[in-house]
Amino acid sequence: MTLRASAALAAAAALTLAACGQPAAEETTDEAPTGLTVVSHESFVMPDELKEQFAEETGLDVTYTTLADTGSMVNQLILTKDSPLGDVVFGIDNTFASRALGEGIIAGDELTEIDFGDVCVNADLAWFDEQGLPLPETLDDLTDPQYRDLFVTPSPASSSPGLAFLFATVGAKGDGWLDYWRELEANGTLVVSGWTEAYNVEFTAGEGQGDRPLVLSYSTSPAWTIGDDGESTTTALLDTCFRQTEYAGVLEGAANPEGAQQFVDFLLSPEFQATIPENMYMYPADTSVELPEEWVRFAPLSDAPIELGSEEIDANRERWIQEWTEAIG
Amino acid sequence: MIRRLAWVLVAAVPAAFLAVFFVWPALSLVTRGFHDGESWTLAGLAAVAGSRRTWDALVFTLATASAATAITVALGVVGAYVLYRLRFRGQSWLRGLVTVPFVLPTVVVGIAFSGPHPVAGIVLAMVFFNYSVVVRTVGALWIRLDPRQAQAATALGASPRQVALSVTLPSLGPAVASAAALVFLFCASGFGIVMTLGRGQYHTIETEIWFQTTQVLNLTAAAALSIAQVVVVTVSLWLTNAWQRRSQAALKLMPETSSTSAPVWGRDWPALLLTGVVILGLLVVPLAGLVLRSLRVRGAWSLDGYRRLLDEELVGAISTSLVTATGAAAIAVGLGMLVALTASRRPHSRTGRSWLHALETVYMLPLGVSAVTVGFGYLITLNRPPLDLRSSVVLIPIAQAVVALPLVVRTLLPTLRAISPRQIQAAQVLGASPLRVLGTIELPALGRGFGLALGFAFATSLGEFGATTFLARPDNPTLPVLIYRLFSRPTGDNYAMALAASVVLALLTAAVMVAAEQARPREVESW
Amino acid sequence: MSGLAVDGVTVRYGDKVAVDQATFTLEPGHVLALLGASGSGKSSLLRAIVGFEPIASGRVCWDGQDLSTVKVHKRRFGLVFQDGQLFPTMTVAKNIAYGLGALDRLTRRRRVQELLELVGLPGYGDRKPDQLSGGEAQRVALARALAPNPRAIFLDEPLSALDTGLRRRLADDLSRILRETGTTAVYVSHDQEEAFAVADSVAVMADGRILQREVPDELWNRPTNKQVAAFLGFRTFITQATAAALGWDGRLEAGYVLGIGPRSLDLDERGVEVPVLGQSMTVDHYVIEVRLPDGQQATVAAPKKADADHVRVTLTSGAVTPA
Repeated sequence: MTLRASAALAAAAALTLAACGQPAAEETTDEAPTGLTVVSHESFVMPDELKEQFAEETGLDVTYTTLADTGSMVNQLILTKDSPLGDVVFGIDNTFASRALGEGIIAGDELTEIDFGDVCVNADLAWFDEQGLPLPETLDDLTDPQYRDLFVTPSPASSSPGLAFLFATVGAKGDGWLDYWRELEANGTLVVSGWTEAYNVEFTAGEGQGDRPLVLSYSTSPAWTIGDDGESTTTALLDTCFRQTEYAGVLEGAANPEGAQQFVDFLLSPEFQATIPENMYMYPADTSVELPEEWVRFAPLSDAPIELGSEEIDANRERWIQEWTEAIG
Repeated sequence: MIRRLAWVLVAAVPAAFLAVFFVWPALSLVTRGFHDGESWTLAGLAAVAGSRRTWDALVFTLATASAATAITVALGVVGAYVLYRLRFRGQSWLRGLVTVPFVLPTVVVGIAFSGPHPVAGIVLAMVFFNYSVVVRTVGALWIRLDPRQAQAATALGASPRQVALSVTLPSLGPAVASAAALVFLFCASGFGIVMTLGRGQYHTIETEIWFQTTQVLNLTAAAALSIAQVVVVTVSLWLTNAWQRRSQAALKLMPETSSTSAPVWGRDWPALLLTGVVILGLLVVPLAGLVLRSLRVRGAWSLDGYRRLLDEELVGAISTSLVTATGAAAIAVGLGMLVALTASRRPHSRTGRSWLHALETVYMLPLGVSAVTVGFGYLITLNRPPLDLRSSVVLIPIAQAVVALPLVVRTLLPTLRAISPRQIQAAQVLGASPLRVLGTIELPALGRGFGLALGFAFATSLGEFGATTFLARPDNPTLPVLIYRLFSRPTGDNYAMALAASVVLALLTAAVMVAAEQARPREVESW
Repeated sequence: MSGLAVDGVTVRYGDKVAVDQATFTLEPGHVLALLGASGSGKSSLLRAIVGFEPIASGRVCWDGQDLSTVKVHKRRFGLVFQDGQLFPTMTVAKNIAYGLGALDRLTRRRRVQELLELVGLPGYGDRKPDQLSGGEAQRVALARALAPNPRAIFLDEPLSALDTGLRRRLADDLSRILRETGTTAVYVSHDQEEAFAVADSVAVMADGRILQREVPDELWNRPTNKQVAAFLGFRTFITQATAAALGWDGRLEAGYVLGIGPRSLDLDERGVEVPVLGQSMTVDHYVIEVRLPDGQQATVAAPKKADADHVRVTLTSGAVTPA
């Protein structure tokens, strides 16, 4: 085959691929690829101005591809590692990081922290004030009979904050975590399917004005319950928090690794980091970024989040969920 | 011979579609489960079969689906009597109303039934969803049943109860069987309801497949469960087909409305009361609750949810949904017409007829196979040019068309089967070639079911969530995906907006269904 | 030979034999009635000839050509069903023109006019089938079948869904139309009067077999066996001696009996006295049931009711039937 013919074929192949929204195949041409495919989960939001800015700065034609939730996304990337879905991924968190790295889907095993947040028990301040009850502070307080029938949590088996809370209990209680859950259950803890059912239906300070003043939510939630007097009506119990960190990384086998790295760098740029609180409700990894005023006042981070290693989580996730389902379900 | 070849070609187009976009992906993922990277193994299968979780899921699936099917059929047959056999003002509105839940997204319905015990909530939500399937299917037959048989029985001294049990209900057998099969399929493969209401404590085969596939990537377990699911689905289809055929004694059908009567309170009060309670309690209250809650913001009445929704991606999401649904409906109806034409052949030989029965069953399978399996299957099959469609915009309408195809086929087939074979013979004797028979007799009949089929396909893909979320897709969401995103945004004040978006989706699908209902020819109301 | 030849045709449904080696020929321009009770196989035979039922053995030929490889729509036959089967979405004119093929518009319209006049429905062209009465629908169905000038037309109990008065009128019309147009036809019916009114010859079928095929007169006078005779209404069979005793002047050959039908005995002042067993009324006459000298029963048609317990009768006709 003549050189010209093969170049024409390669160009044709590149065209077909581009038409299918895929990164252009790199090895068949000497020129740098012009396409980039970003893979993320449902909650990734990047304002249109920033998308344009990134495209302009790099000259790349970027395709944004969405997969369902973090778990699905990681597993779909594992399933397709022979022919990756894209060049760069955002949204792998610390609970799935070791699996992603262990399966070798991240180029150079390098994950870059983009944002983080705490999953904590929230309390309805007004309710506790009215009842004259002291606020609970720790996980152990939740099993105290004076807080009977007050706590609602999304299920670890069907909700990601619910699962984070399960990790918190494992981190705090070690092998005794399941006994702790039995005590929670005995103390009237309500388990519902998702965060929205817990917060917006059952929680006293939520939209549904339910009858449970304690709910598993985020440390940032109080920033959205500011009353007429400018004070938040809820607070996060900072000793009950589990920290979630979200990473980005270049995918192994990416057609455009340079572009992918440029995207990771862009996610760390002050411009993008500044949009994270408002769009993704997480704390930017860059601590120099100025936070919204309500966050500063009402959504502090825990200074001692409950720790649990990524490897341990990955090794036991299925077993824990199974044990939880059998014991509590 | 040429004619048979032509039909094989006609059948080949939808078959190829189903093969590439359903059978191949699903099968590929399932076979991965039996391959540990080096060799084939059944070791994992044994572990799954020995796990209590698997059997719990299987039992829970069968138990809830059976219970929900039984309740739906019982209530639905009474509803069919009231809404189709009796005649009163506002009846057509009620018929339209009961159809709305069928096309509502499960995310929305889950919220409405979160009150009672999870298991009760799950079963009630299933009944809510499928009530109209039974009412419509049974009603369509009932309205055309010759009343003289019942009159003959009455003249022989049978009480109304005896007449109902000995004459009327057995005649309705085929429709009841067909409806029960569909309801069971929908219940046994329902994902959203169990996810939303099961609180992670109750699992069906479908949610177990979701868990094993998306959360822990245990493909062996998922494969075993998928096989179990296909077995359950096939057996239930086979059983109801047999039931349907056995009860398909020659029924004398009359033109519609010839046998309806005004309600008589003394005779009909139990049926009227029960149906009234069902429509009010099971349909109106949850739907009204949804609308009311979408109007509550921070404890006060407000249109804020709707107002903010307009600022948000609403318009974009609606247009994405409409474009996607248009594509899906076009594919599903186009292919569905080919399937219906093929399946409505009337071969002389018994083997020919068995083949067509099998064909019909195969096209029902997408209703009973997990969207997760298909969605993940796409990732590992459609990954090479020219079929690298994994993150292409066309994959979503294709996936939704796979889901809508069975309903389209079920809507179109009766119009073709309603053609008397002698009409076709009359045309043949007059010298009409098979092509002319197709053009002058069959296509006009098919055309009359076209509007309804299009409406169903459109509404189904408008509310489709399962298959859509498991695909890699461009980041402009469809309406159900937007609703899901709004519900899971951890800021509290998105709740009213999410509910408002749900109301918009419900209204949109209801509007499509009402329009389709207008285009409904008289004889196609059953699936 | 020219015309239709049916040669040993057998039709099976599973194990059941519906038509058992039927054989007959039909010359062009002739009308044959297939007469039989329901379930006798006459409709199956008709459908097999037209090409709708697979033939297990035997052949159907037209002008000497075996039709087994000729598809239904290429056989150039016509067919009229019991219930018309007009195409509901098309007008009467469109129905009639359906089989006309590639004729120009004017010729088509003229042909449709012609046929509407032939069947006595001029001006009906723009109506829809659901605006027609049963009799009108059958006339249109006949026009539709005749329009393409078929080689033969087949009528499957075309009048049986109509009421009695209309049926008789339409049977006469049918007979006239078939003869005026010189159409070759096979007419399936279970009604003797209808068959005899329309057909040049009649074939009687029972249990899938053709028992006898004759011109109407001959069939009426000399049925081939008691089964055929009984089907035609001759239900009592008497010997030469009894017949003579009843005043019959004919002679029976050895091995034959005489079948007595509803019109065989006449009331006659000079006849033989027979006891009355009972009587009943029909539309236009009384039926008196009597006991014959040999002890068997028979009926006599009478203009008025018998007021004594005896009547006098004479045997005027009967069907000469092998014993």
